[in-house]
Amino acid sequence: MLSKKTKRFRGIEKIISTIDYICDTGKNGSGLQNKSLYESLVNLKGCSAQGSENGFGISFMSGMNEKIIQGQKFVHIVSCNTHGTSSLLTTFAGRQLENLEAAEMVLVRRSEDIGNHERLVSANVVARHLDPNLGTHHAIDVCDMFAFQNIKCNLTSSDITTPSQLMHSVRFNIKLKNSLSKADVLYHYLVQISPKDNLGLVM
Amino acid sequence: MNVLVSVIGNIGTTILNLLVQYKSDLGISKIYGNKHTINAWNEVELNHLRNLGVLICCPKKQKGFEELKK
Repeated sequence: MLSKKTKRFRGIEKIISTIDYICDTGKNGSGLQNKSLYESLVNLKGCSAQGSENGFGISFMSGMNEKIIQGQKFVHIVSCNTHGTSSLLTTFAGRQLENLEAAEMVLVRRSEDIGNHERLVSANVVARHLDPNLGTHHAIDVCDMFAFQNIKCNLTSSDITTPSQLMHSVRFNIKLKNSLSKADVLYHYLVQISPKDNLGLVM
Repeated sequence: MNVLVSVIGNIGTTILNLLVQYKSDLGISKIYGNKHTINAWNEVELNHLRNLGVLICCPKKQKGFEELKK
């Protein structure tokens, strides 16, 4: 039983027209389903949806393409695995992937979040490749995001879902055009997490 | 500026806590959090958010919660 205090909630219908910005963090498909509602809200200035909602708006990843979303009303925040994969690629191959020859990754993912109980699997499940060259949707999503910036990304991904709620991990193999030093990797990483292109680092 | 986080789940809770932390920096007046299904075990988390200043909302015609009052 909920306590009397907890039961005092506002009705969403009463406040929705006063909202300036919406972060849609619902389950798979909710952002795309709700988009027509959001489009009908005349006072709404912006809206973002999570990784599963591919096509909701411009694909965005922090540290990767801030400029491309300026002035955009609908933004798609790419998934955790797209973030992880892109971070690995840019850390080793540079922000423009200028040093990338090819890469392949295996995403080992939990079946669902710790608070949910809908998608648990009883054993490891390997996902089918959606594209003969790119593999699973992870590489497709990453390549789509880089394509927004006219950057070509030679990546193949595979996916295995485990009977766990704990975390995701990535096994990766990245082939570079040129060898690089520890300082290069550190520089790429710091540039990636900085909002500025040039940190003025002394390496 | 009023911001709504819909839904309060794994990601939504994290975003709400970030918005609370940077509320003044981002020029936010009110932060709303929408919870579709409210279970008894959500009470502690929802009250924690409410104590941080998050205004909790839910769908009016949610099954079992039709009698909820504002």
